[in-house]
Amino acid sequence: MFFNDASFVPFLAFSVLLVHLTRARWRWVTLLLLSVGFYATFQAPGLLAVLAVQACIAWGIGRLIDRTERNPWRWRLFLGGTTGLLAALILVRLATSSKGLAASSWQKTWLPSAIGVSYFTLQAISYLADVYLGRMKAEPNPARLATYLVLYPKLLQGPIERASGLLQQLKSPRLPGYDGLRTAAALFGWGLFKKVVLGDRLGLIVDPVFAQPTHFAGLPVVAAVYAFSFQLYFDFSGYTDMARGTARFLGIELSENFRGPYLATSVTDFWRRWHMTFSRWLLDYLFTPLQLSWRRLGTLGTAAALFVTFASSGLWHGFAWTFTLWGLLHGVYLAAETLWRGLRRPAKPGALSRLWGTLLTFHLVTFAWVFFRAPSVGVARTLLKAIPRASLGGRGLFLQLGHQWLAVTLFACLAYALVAALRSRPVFAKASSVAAVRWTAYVVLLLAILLLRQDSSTYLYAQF
Amino acid sequence: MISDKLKKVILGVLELDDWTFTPETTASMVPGWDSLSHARIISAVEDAYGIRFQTRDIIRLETVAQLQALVDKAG
Repeated sequence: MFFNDASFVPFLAFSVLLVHLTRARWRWVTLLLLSVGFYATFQAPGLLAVLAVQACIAWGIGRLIDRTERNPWRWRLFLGGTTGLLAALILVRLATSSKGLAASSWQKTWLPSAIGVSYFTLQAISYLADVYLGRMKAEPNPARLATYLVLYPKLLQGPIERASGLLQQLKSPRLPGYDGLRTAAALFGWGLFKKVVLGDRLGLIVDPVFAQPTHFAGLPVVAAVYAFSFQLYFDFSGYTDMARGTARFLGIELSENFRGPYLATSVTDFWRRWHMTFSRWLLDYLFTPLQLSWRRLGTLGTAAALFVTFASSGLWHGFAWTFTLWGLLHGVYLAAETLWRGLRRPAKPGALSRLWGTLLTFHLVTFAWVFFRAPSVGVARTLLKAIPRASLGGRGLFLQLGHQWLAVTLFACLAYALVAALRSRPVFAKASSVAAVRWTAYVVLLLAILLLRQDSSTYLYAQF
Repeated sequence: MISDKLKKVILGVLELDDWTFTPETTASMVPGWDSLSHARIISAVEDAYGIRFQTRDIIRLETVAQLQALVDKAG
């Protein structure tokens, strides 16, 4: 079940009712049962078994680390636990990949996909690392630790939460009042608009071009490449807004994951704004240990640590050359930026320099997305080679979608840009404090979702 | 208590004229002390005191006071 499925609305209403009816100290149990029920809707019993294995490893090893005083043993336990968690993830990934056991009936019945596994594995690793580093005490209750891992609003695509913050919230979720419920609904609606109106509409330009790359050249390819950058943003950030809205209904606050990523003035800045909880995870648990180990190498050590970190992040998305190349590209971008910054004295950039930085960053990121989206490196190469070739062959793509479709999509994107630009301004807060304005906006948002949606039942980032 | 020597090393790396360090000061409170400059600060502290930290000890650091304690322990 995804957030934009019709069946999710009654499930959410049932969840809110149940959580509100449960006594504060047992709310986490209700959330655990609801989350397991939500996960079970994917009809993959194997996933629940994997979740149980990861929760047991994290809980058992965490407790052992906590009880061990000698550092070398704490380190060995941490290393053993992390290896176990990663091994389970890799096995599931291999089993569910197209080259895995795709044909076996066992796999189709028990483990048809790996949805959610990489997200709760990353969180289990961060939990073990925090216990090992003494940042938190090990959780004594295995079921509560499992609730942290499986909590359904963030199960499929994050945000990737820290155990210390979320376990604390789970101990006594604070139920939202009227304003909390209202902002939760608005956040969910805004995310749904981004996903089903903007993201899914742009998908209609992207999908045919990436599916049949030899049929297109010139403008349609350029349009598809740019459109994918925005489709992915609307799809993923829309999901995150819905996840945060859902969690708020249940008395849990999840972390922000996006902050205007395409306004970034450098690739380093981009990773501070895109999938922020994932980049924070990479920074804390991979980059920092590497960088500190290589600190005697100075800027070169930092650049090397960035390269290794982001090159590895490609593999987290899947064992494919496309993701590997995407990760390597970001590794090269970040290492080059670090070395470049090391050569010159920092100066406050002017407006023109910032604009140039934003345009360059957007195009570097968009170039890398081509490999991320393409089903193979060959398709990515075909598309990139087709960009400079002028051709009228792709006109059919736009004619098929129709003028009205293009006008509505453009209008919806502009409306989004206007709201996004005004959101941080005082005038927005002032206007939204007036009930009549607020409710008019909610009605417009609801009508836009109902009338302009281009529903697709999949989420681009759920596959990871 | 943060020693003048440690303070001088940190300010030197960050190219700051002055900054008030309290035992609760964390890296994010100090201008320019980010994940990229952190390794340079640690290296500069090691050079200034002629010591070498364990990587796992410096990963745990959260406040400047903890860095001072690590220096005192190593010295």
